Amino acid sequence: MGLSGNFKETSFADLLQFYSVSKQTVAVTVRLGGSERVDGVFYFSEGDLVGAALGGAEGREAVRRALRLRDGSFSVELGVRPAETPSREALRSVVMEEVVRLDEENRASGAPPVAKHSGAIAAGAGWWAAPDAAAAARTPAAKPVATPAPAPRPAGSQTPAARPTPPITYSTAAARPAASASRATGSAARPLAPATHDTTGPLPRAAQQAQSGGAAAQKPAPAPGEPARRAPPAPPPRRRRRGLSVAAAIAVLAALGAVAWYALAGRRAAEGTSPAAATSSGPRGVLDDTIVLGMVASFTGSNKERGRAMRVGWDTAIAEVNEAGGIHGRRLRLVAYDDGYDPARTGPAMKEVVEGQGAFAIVGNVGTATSAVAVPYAAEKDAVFFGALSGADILRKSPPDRHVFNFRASLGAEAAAAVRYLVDVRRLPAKRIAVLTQDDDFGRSGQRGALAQLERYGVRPDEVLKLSYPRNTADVRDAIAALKERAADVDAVVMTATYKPAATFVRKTKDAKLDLFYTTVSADSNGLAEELVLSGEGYTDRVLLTQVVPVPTSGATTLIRYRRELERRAPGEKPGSTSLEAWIGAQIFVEALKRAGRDLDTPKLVAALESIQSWDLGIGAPITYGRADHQGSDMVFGWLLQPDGTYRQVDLE
Amino acid sequence: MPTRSVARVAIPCALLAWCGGARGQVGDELVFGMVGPFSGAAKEMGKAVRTGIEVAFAAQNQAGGVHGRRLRLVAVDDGSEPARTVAAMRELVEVRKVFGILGNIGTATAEVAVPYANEKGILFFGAVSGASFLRHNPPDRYVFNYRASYAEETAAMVRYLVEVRRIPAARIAVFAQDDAFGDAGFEGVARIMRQYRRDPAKVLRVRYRRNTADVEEAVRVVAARAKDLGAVIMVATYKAAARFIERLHDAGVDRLVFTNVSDVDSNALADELAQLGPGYAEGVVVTQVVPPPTSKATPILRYQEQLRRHAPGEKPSYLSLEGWIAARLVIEGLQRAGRALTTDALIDALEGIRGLDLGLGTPLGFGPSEHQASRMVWGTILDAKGGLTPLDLT
Repeated sequence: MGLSGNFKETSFADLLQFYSVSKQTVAVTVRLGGSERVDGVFYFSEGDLVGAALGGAEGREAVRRALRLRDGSFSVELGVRPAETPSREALRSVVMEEVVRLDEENRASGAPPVAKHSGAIAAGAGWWAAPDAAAAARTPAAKPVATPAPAPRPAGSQTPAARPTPPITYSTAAARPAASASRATGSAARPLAPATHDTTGPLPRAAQQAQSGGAAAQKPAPAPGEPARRAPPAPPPRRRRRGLSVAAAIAVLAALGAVAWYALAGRRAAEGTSPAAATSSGPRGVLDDTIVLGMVASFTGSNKERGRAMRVGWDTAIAEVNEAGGIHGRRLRLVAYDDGYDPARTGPAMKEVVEGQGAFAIVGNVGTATSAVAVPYAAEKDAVFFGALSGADILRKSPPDRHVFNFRASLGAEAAAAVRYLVDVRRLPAKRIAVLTQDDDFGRSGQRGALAQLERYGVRPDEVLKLSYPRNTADVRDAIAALKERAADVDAVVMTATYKPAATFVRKTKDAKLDLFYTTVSADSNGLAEELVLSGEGYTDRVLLTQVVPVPTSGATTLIRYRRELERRAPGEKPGSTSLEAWIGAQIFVEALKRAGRDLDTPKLVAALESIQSWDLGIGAPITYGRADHQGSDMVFGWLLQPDGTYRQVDLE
Repeated sequence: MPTRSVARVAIPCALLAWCGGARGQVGDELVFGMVGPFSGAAKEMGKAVRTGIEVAFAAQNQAGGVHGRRLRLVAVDDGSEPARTVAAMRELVEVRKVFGILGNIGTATAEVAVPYANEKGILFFGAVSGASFLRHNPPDRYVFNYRASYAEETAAMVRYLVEVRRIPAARIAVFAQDDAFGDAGFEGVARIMRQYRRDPAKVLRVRYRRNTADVEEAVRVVAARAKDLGAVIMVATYKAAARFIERLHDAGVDRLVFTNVSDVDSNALADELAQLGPGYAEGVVVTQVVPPPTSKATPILRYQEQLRRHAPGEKPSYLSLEGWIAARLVIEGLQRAGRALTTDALIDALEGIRGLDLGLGTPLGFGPSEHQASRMVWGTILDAKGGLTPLDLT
């Protein structure tokens, strides 16, 4: 899943900015020559640079060299951490100083690319004001394009105007706010340059405005696309230098102001007053011009692809809403935190999202065991818990929890549909169907559905071969050993598993020449397909996913819109089950926010969600909620894996 | 000089924009296209459906058109050969620049036409096919159907055979064209068979090649197993179906119940069988997706009246009625879409049609998740002289 690119198109500064904003944990491997030899590694942990090595240099020197790279390639591995973590503060100030130094050097030599780079880094890391104002000052007024005029520059440096969108541009990432109060300055995330981020322009601005206390400090920074307004008319070079120093001085002051404000805000947060509350008299997370939504999901660990794709889906939908002017005058802002699919980390992450960042509602969480922790907390904080990526029974009580709303059918319904497909359509004997389940609530919810359906075909639950594996692993060895003993009695396995263990199980049983039909519930379609296609020929045969959304290649109106939006706002992102489920959930949530009106609070949102009835979003059946029904859809779709990694929708009946 | 270069660029652009924006609209005319068999074994079908659409258009034009525009249909022949369908679609969409496709005929041909329409963003309305790939869930944005699916037709048929005629599901065989049409019909039979606890893999299926009436092999197999069978469901066009019945009769197999799906062109089938002599036609059941065209219901009287006026000499038929109803639905959508017409505006308007009662015995409607207007299936049975009489299927 790693990204890769070269420093001709994407500068190291761009990478710093990107990971600073997207808060990802990654290792960036640098190769300078054409060979496979690794020349350097840079580690980011939740967006902070925590390790730097390049060509024998470490720390500051490595950063300094990397910022000047105009050649060589890089590749990115997600979720990789260094063996030992040096002080974040130390490297952060190193990065800041080196960026400023590079900026000054380039300014002295008249090389323009720095404008973009420094602005970029600044945007991500929060010291945007100084270099950006400088960038604006350098932009000739006659050319209201954000890219600086191509002044003479050293050979080999890039031409900003001609730069294509960096291949890693995951545009809505720019909207992602900071991870903690200490890093809160990052929430003023702004696009690298209008050329690469024009579609998300409104969103980052909204993020800025959300921190309205810092608005004064942000003044010197021009909004993307309008640098010319504040730029002085193209002055002769000498005066320009002086103008620059003045602009820089103002900007430094402004930056100091921003730091001071965030320090205060941070203290307020620590004292239990959220930044949101500081700027609005309304409910938590409902500001004058912004609604803050929180998400806690797996951005690292064995299920990280799901968290990532979930966020892509929500970000895509939110960007569209914001571009259209928001809802009742408010833009949406999503605060996303990682719990690594580890319930022990869900609590602190939820606390940070709700109390630290002041989220109004929680949307799109990933996981069942993690939801078990998050739901009681959300209820306690009177936050709606909407559209979790979990079909587990704990989210589907009868009568339903006031705060918990689901979009999707239950895991039990999915597993039961899979069993019916195997028996009725595939004509496999019910008594020859085994189950593989993750050893937790998620697995058990699916297993219950499968066993109940098998019982309807006359197979008692104690007769069914039950296999399992430990959660957050892909360790299916015991399951396979147990299956091999009974291999002669089994034709199909109904899995309630995440995509990695599911793919591992399929691969290993096929390697062992077991001739089986596999089904799995709502696994990440792209993750599973990729694993199995890469395994080689034949591994994709007879693998059925049940999903709660149609195949993303569908020609339906809503699916066309989803693909178009995804292409526009998350270029390069492959349409898949997870981002689609998230995006559909977001459509419903947005509809509810519209119905709830300007005077928004949790009771109004709950009432608005419950008022959505027979609302046809065009995904096969209308969405319906009610006082006694907090699950919008009961639909289950069959996705049959094809050799090329795509899926064909089949009738499950 | 700058002015001139601007003009040189701007004028073709303006023309292009005008052409692009006004797809299918030439002056005050709105043009729809249709691809169907106007030659070959199924040409009667093409002619009938086209007549129905043209009659509805003519009547509407006489009443002033839709928002001041006159409606016109351009029909192109593909002889029921999928290999010719894409060229025919291209001709309509890229050369004739029709606004939308209306009333295409055939399943195998639709299999190539639908991806093309989806890719081009062209309305594909009211195809004469009940195949499931025209009825994706959720439905393709550009594909709208009037008629019930094959699954609904065959389900009605099997239920009739099992529950009214008391023929066990195990004694029902399928005679189907060897292509997407036959497969789609068989898929519907398989689905309902499962409900009767009958393994679809055990259902006897015999075949014939599209655009032929070469049924010898199918007849041989069915004749050999005749004593185990009570009924044969035919998913076939009229010539092959007529030949199949004729040969089995001649082989002495005369107590089987034959049924056929609506696509057969029941009027043509009745004519063929009646010409063979008494006994061939009698008792053949055909399911229909429209009410009897000779009905005295208000909308059908209107259809008959328009047919008399605009296509004198044409007899009312099931297929021309189907074309007429599909055209009526499009007209309804066009009226709702308003004067500023685009494909998207028409689709939004169509999706807004709910519970429209044309008087057919079932209200019609669409929605974002539903692009099939009717689920109703009517039964008919042939008499010895080839007359079609309504048959209650339940």
